[in-house]
Amino acid sequence: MNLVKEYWDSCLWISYLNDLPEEKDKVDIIDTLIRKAQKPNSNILIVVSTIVLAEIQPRDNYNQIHYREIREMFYKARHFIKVQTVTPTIADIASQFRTSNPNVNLFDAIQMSTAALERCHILYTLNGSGQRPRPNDILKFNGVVMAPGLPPLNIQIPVMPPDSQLPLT
Amino acid sequence: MSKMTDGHYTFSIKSELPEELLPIDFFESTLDDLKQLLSHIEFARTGDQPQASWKIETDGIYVVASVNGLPGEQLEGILWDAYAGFEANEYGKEENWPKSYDEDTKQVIKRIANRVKKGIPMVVQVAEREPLRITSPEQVRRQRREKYIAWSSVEGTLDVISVHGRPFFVLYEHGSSSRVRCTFPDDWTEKVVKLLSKRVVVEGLVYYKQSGEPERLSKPTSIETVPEPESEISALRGTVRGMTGELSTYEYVQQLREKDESS
Repeated sequence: MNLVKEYWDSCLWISYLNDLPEEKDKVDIIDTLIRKAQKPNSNILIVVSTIVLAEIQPRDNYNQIHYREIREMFYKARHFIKVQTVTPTIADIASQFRTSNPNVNLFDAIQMSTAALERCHILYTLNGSGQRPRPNDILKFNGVVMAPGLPPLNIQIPVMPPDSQLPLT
Repeated sequence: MSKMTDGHYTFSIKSELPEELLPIDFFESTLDDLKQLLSHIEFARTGDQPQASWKIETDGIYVVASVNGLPGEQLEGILWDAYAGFEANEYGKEENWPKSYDEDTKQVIKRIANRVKKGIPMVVQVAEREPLRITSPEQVRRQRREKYIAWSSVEGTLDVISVHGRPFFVLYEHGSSSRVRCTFPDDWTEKVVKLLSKRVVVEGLVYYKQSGEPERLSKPTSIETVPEPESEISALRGTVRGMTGELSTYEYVQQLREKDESS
């Protein structure tokens, strides 16, 4: 069974934990992808950078419950999640990439480097899905080659898997 | 330099690579081969079942055999024959193989020497002989493949504990199943044994291949189990409501990153 690696940007996790009513459609998709990945016979491995762990923090009133839930999500031995540390190679690729793309945010560059080096089949992000896309949204870099020898990044906004859509009644 | 010390004759095969760069099975394979080699030679020289008691020790990158149980002359002769076998193999002269060597014995020598072709240069030493260096251009290529060394961590399942010589275990990295050889201090043995087959995070000096995959870890500073989750991840949906305040997720992440960039 071939392993399918998916890199998940921080915003997917934040969206999932936050579960805003106005983002229900997106969160439903994320929920479906998570349920698909966590099946015992799944061949999906979700990759996240340790940077994600640092980014996922409530804006205000960060309390013990929040802390425990976030730890429960990432700091446990889940078979379908790999938390990848920022290694020297990843930092090096991110640094080189930002030399030619100075407006790319450091965190974005590290996440993109991680996804590239891990040879993820897809990098899921919501960064670029807003009403006012910005020039340096991750989504704009779909197809970019982060470093020689690495495959081009396939950057997408998550969509509902075809086999998971409910039939219209 | 190999020599007779404390009534023991020693023979050593020293790898010239730092211990951290050696393949996981280097010590065990070489020790097995060395025992087999000495036993073959003794049998050929004495005609009796091998009697010498070979005490094999590893000290870092050394493989040392010290012996007793046979007259000194016999012991010395066995070790010189062992050395001569490496020499004959190195210089490719059939007539130089010692008389005590049959085809099986030659194969043992070739097996050890073949590790050189895999990039592990060695020096064979025995008393009263010049150190014999066995090397290969592969060494340079192998060292170049080791691109990064950094204090970092590796997460995976702990397996294959060896306390033979310098203790180490193998960590099968989560997600890639790469084998990462992790040496550890003697006083960690009890702790490491308890963690067998558990998922752990080990911190230490990590050697990465050029591909970015970890290959070895030395000088470990900590090892911790990764606990089993208490709930399915899907149960965490909406558990940190309001974490973005009044902002959408997208706006929140943008603001977060812009703030970090400008600070």
